Amino acid sequence: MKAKGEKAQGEEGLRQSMSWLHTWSGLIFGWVLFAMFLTGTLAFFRPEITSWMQPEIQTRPAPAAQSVAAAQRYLSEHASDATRWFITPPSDREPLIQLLYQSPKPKPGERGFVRVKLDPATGEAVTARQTRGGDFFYRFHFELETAFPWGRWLASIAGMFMLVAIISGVITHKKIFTDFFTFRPRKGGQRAWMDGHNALSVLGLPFHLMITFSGLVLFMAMLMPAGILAVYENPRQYSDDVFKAFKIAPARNEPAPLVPLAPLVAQAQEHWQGRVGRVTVNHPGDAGATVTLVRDAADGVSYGRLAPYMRFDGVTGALQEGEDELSATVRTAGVITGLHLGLFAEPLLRWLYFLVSLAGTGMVGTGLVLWIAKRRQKARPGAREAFSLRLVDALNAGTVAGLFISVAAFFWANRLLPADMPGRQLWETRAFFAVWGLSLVYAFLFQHRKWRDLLAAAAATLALVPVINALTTSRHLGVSLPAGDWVMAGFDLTCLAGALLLAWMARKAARAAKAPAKGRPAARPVAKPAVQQAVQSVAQSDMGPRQGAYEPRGDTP
Amino acid sequence: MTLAAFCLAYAGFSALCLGMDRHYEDLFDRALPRRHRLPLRLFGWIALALSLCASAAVWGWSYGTVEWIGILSIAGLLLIWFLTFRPRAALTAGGLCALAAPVLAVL
Repeated sequence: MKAKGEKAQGEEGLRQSMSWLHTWSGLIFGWVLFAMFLTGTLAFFRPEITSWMQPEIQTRPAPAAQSVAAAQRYLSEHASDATRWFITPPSDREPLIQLLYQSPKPKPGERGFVRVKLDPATGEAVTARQTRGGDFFYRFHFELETAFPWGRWLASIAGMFMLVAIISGVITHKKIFTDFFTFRPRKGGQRAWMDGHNALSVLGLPFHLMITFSGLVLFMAMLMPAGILAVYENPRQYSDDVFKAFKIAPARNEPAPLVPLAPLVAQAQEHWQGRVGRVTVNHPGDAGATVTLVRDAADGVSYGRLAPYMRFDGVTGALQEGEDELSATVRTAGVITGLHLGLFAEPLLRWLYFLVSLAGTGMVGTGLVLWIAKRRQKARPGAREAFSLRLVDALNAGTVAGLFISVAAFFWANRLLPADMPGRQLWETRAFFAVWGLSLVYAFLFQHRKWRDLLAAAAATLALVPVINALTTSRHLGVSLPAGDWVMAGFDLTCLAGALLLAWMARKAARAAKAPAKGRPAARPVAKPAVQQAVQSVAQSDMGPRQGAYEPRGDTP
Repeated sequence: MTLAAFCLAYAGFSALCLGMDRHYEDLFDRALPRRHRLPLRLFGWIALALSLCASAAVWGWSYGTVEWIGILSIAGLLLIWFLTFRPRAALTAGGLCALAAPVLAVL
């Protein structure tokens, strides 16, 4: 009897301590994680977002060999003295040829990389409005717009907290199978938020766990360098060993003409029966030049970072080395990182990625709101709310709802700023952060209406994105839908769908804000000083979206 | 075939959900009869397994498994949504999915 009792107590102790861990590890980086989840979700559509943000560019992809030949013509004309060329042939998702080259003598403090995009039809560089496009979300997702390497460290630490939160959350969750399909919004308050949080977390658990873990694996070399430092003399040797496709041989400093690249591409395509994702030329025009072809990441689940490659002599075109079958270890690492990047995903699977990742964003968002809901439920009704609660609630509203407004503002800026404005890509980014900042200020100033207003603003701004697109370009829904231009149409329709979802949430928030004041008039003593009453009504109406009245008993720890 | 995988996942989850006392009671206002429980759960698990097979048949095992997990998440979240706001429709959709799956698989 006694032993059994002790065991039960110990078990509860573990749950309790895990619950504490879950609560606080989730809260501390919650807002950063929400931003990372949302931008990461958008980054799955990185090239599509870029295409939408440069509506001037309308071109069709050309075959890889032909495109690489065009790229070679352009580069030998404009960058013959570069130390390295990177050529990315067009794909279904990226219709342009992307070039990157490193000039031999960069200005001090710069790495000297130049990016050019070529139209595969003409072989000429395309000129379009300057924008960071989808790359902004992609970069923000793991660098948080903070200087290298601090942003990556911050994102990684947030990721580790996420991993802790997921594992402790699974342990804390008492009835993971009994509550599998349970969602009871009518119960209100903490219970409803708890159900929603559980449903979003449990149903997407494989994805959430995968994405968090693999995100950390992507930065493995930065986060845990001990193993690499113990085996290799310097990090360069490690990356040469693991990422063989990036290995650089020294130049011989004797001029020699570069072999035509197109036949090599054709040879690799024939050999792999697949696509070529990138062509790297080291020391073009030198006798020691090498040409490395890497298989397209879209060709396999594990090819995101570690794909098969072939290396040719840059003068004779003879095959030097290559790897088709990667070792089991490399393939395992490749699958983990490849799953995170999702580059292999066909359109349908990419949408699944997007939706489940959105559920993950919702998981973080509901978790943040739950923190408030739980504490409000325990507070005495009518008491003045603690500063900590108001602080967290304002940060929640300013981030959870505010970030959607910032994303919309980013797209607005893209369309409304003059196309030839110098440094306009900076202003797009500034619009994003300025609006996020303003949302936070609003959330602090208007305690009791922040959720409703910010969610409504998010819905409105997002719904207007297709409208502004229609007013400023000739590729709006009326044109893109009949033409079957699914990148443009899909973007606009997704904005509208997002606006609908946010409008629904705003309506719920508005109702929840009204409900307590109307539903419980008896709970408020009539004869009270006016000031106190005002404070009380603020505290009551400010219960977040879908907040119910005070419930004395909560069935969670 | 991918649609069949989705239908099987949705139908499987619906059956598993019906096989639980709380949800059965919510939908039919009576206790879940014991003789219904096992068939419902069995059907649910088999449907989920078949869904994996359907997904793998189209995409191969490595890609198919990833796709299947995505399908499961979306089907489950959709079912919860329906169950909360349109419980009858959720059930009908589950039945329709179960019927549509073999047809879609053959097509």
